[in-house]
Amino acid sequence: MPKQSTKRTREVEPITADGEMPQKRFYRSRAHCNPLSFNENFEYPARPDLFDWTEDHYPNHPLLLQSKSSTNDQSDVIPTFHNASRVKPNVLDVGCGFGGLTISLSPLLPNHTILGLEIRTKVTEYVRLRILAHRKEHPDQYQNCSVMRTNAMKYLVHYFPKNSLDKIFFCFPDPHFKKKNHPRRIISERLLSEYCYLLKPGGKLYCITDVKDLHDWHVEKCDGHPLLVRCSEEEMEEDPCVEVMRKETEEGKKVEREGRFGHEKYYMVYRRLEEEERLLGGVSADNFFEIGQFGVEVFDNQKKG
Amino acid sequence: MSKQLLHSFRSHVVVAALSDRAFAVLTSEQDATSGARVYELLPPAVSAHAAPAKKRSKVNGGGAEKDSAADDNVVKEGEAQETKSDLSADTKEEIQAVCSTEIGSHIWLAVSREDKTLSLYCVADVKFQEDVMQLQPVAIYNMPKRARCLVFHTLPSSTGADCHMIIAGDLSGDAFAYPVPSYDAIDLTAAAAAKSSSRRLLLGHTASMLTGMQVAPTNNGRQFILTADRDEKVRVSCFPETHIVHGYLLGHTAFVSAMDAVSGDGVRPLCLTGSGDGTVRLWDYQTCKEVGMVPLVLQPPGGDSSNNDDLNVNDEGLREAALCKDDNNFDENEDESVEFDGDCGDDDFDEKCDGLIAVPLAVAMSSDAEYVVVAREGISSIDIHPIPDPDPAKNTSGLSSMFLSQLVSLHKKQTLQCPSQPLDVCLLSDGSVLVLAREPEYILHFRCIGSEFEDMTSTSPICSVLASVATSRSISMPITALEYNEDGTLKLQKKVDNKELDGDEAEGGESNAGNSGLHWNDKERKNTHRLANGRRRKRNCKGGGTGEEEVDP
Repeated sequence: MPKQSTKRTREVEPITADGEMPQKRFYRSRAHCNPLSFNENFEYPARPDLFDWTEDHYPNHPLLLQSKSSTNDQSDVIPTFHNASRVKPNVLDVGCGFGGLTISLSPLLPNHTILGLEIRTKVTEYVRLRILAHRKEHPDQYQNCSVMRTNAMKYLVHYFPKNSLDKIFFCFPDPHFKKKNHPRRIISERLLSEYCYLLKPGGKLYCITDVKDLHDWHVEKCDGHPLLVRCSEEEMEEDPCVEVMRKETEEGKKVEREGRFGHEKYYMVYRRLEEEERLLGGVSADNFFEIGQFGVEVFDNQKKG
Repeated sequence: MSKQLLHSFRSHVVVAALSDRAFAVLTSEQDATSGARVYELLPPAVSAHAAPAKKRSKVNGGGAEKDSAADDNVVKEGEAQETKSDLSADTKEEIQAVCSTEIGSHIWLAVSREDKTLSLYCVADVKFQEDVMQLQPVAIYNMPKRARCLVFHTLPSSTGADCHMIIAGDLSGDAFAYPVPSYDAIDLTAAAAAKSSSRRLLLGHTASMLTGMQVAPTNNGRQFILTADRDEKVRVSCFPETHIVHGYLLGHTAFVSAMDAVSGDGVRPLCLTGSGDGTVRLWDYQTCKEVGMVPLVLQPPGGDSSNNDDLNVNDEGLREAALCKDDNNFDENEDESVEFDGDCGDDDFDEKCDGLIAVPLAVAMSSDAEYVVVAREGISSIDIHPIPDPDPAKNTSGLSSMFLSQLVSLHKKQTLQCPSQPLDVCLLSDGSVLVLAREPEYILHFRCIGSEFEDMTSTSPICSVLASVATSRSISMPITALEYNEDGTLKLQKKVDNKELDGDEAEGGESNAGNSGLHWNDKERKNTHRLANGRRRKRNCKGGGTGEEEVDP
């Protein structure tokens, strides 16, 4: 017994020290998981305004450095605190995997704050170490990106206030092929309403995948949501984020190399409606149960079993 | 309501779930003394072959003694036999939720059961009919999951027919709207469960459960739908454009166990929530800010009553029937700064052996938003808290979300004793309070006379009628409306499991610095890996080829 306890309590040094570039092979993790599972212990703030992003994630964010140079002699604390509360992510990479996109977006969008979300512990640790290594190698760069371990299907509204995000990326999400697992897909009618709540009016939603079925599903759900409008081809061409999304994600590179479902990548970009007030009144007593309306379905009312 | 077991519409329709049976009690809105009628709402399993019972149970208000044997209460004007064929299968299918409304001149009732059925019943013509006292469902829907919350709603139409619907909030976090057939289209000979039907997915709280739902008005003539879930939040969405989320009411630190919102127009947009963290909070759902709070209350530990009142002790011993102290606050309209500590004033409740939080399992707000009623787990009484009028000078600051001094603490004004722990609470539009309780009373009725509430159970026609019916069928009520696991923890409480999602070795709690015990993050692995690679290379090279030194990439 005593032997065992000493074994457990000894300090374990991590494989990769902070600042060292991590090696993927030590952070491999099972690709599929059930995000609907209840048995998780995530910590999250009760409300978005109770969370300080500069503590763990962006300690040297460009916005903070501005304030330090122009501080008044008195009340040194208040301007910094005030600026700290300005530091909030406005670009989300949901399911960031090994962090390719998150890190590539950082120099591309220097005025935005980028956050990658990942549910797997090992992979999140990998991305965290990778970001730290990048920050060490290139001082003054990569200070506006970070990663967090959380369940994006459940806890986003605890972290981000209304209309605070400019962009949300869904890159190569888990297809969950079986019909009974469709509720686990990251894009669904239920979640799209939440994403639209988080996006600023005019904000953009990006999705890319190499599975054609999943792409059709994405397009069907997003087209069917009244708050999202497809971006035109020209808009997508002009947007530099689309290019990065196609090339820089780890999954994207794997598709280029191996192409288990083919080498084709399907993507689409949607813009969140600017004036949602226009939609009010669109649903009325006459069309409430009409097929084709958002959320209306004909279902089999037979008792099962 | 963790389960919506008691529901009322205005003041003349009451529907109650007594274990696995549902009963509707109708009185006349105009004539309070003309007595009450009881209908039993049959479950769908009871098909046509069971002989429908004709049992009359008309009791004039003010006459019956509810404590005496059942037979004395019922005024028989003919046969009054009980049919055993009423009882459905051996296992009790606990009723999850009930709801009621009046459409035109017809009264509609809905019952959601444990077998995932949603049954709609219609009582036509509120005139007193003497014959059928058991209602077969007029429409049956098979839902994908059990629903714990039900709301009737009608979308008025300027052109065609109004759209009537029943909204069900289920255990997978979804809220579906099912159509309510129009009275003229009811065909009692056809099967109540249509082969296929249409329904509308209004919204979904992913990976959560809906524990409360209500439709409430906005300040510009439109509506919101408020849905509370197990993940400590209440979502406010536009209605019927439910894909537009207005906001979230965030602040609770445990599952939301009960919710009520104001339903009339011209009243402040207030929403009331009770939570597993023990607090009851008042919110302004238009601005999505917290405006008031009742601090948490602990279930009192075994036996000692720190009060003068006479108390009944529950048989079970798990939850003792004792009042929490401090009911001497009679300050009604006082705005005060924040009180965060529990009224029982014990900071080390974690160390107390019986420091269980008295979870508010039912909350109700009066229709004029004047007072709220709270029923708690483990406490055999209900509390009345008046809502103070807002002080306009205080609500201007934009930093009100940061500085909580804007919060109002809702003091208890009166405590109403109940013989056992209340199961659910609802308010009638005439301001009286109905409490669902255990046998032999089954239902209690309190009326506000002057500024205090008084127990009028003995004189209430609703109570006597329902009690007599229930007693005659020997219905035994559950102890509590909340569901518990075998080990005594609440089912709604989230399990804190140390198992990681990707199957890593368990961390064994937050004992030491973050990485201790995590073998995957151990530096030794690099060494092991290098040696293993070296050995593998040697093995492969034995078959020919040069042996190279492994270099870490």
